[in-house]
Amino acid sequence: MAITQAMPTSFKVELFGGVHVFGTDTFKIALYTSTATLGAGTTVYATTNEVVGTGYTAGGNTLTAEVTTSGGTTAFVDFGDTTWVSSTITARGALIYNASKSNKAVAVLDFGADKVSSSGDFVIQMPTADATNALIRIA
Amino acid sequence: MAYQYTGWGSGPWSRSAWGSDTVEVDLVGVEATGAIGDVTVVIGTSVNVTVYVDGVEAVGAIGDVTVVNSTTISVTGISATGELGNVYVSLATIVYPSGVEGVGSVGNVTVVAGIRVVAAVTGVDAVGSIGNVTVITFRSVTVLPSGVYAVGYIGQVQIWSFINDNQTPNWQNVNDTEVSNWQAVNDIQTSNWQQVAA
Repeated sequence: MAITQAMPTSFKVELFGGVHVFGTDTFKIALYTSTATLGAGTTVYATTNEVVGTGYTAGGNTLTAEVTTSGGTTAFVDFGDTTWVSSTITARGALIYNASKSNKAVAVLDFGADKVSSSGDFVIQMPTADATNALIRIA
Repeated sequence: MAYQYTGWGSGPWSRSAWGSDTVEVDLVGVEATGAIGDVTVVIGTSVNVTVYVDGVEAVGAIGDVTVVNSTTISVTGISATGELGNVYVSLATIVYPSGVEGVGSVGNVTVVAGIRVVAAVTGVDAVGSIGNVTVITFRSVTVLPSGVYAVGYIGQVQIWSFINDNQTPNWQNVNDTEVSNWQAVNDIQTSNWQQVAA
């Protein structure tokens, strides 16, 4: 059981099929404990080993402020920061998924270690939206 | 009264980390025969702050005592013969509210503190009544994920077609009419071999 940061293989296939429509679809981010198994083979959001805690609702937060553009020869997608306010959460990773397309997996994030909030804000600060750092990139 | 030390090593020895700015606020001995209004200390978080609220007394009543955004807070010896309002300490790392007293009543004593908290609430007394004594600790976290990426590849293609056999041939017959210049091998030359001595 582990969380490995990855762009799911199914997501790559679905890009060819035109499944995901960034800018239109609703994308969400769910948090998972260290007992979860997530990686390139993840195809869809599931509640197994999802975080349970004060201030957290199953399914996670809806991502906003989406940016889809390119820089040089790299196309990329980024989102705005998201916060679970006044929450008590222990999370090891996250799954971004497309709530508009049967919760299909988009990206698996590994936090590297358990991240803990206790009656405080749990904030995921997205990387800079550029060709080098953006959350999802295709070069 | 407040003291501020700014710059490399300008603070007293053993006070905070080397080179850090230091602000010290002492609010001591605020007294009144009648009533004292609210006592409020609000400090920013960019420097190391030590706040001492001590010996705030009144024969009458004291309003709320509030300290916000400090690193080390010591709220002690707040007493009133009459009533004492709420004592509220927020966003502190080390908090020592102690010796809060009122002959009448003491309002709520609340400590809301951040990460790595030492909160000691002791000696909260009242001849009358004491409100709620609450210690709330909280811890916030910010996660900085890196992105995921994929590299696209375009494979090599094979192009084939039928051979064009309609073009005009440009082959020629081999010219076999040229004069030959070959000669017979001369096999009459004198041999010069000798027998090898035994």
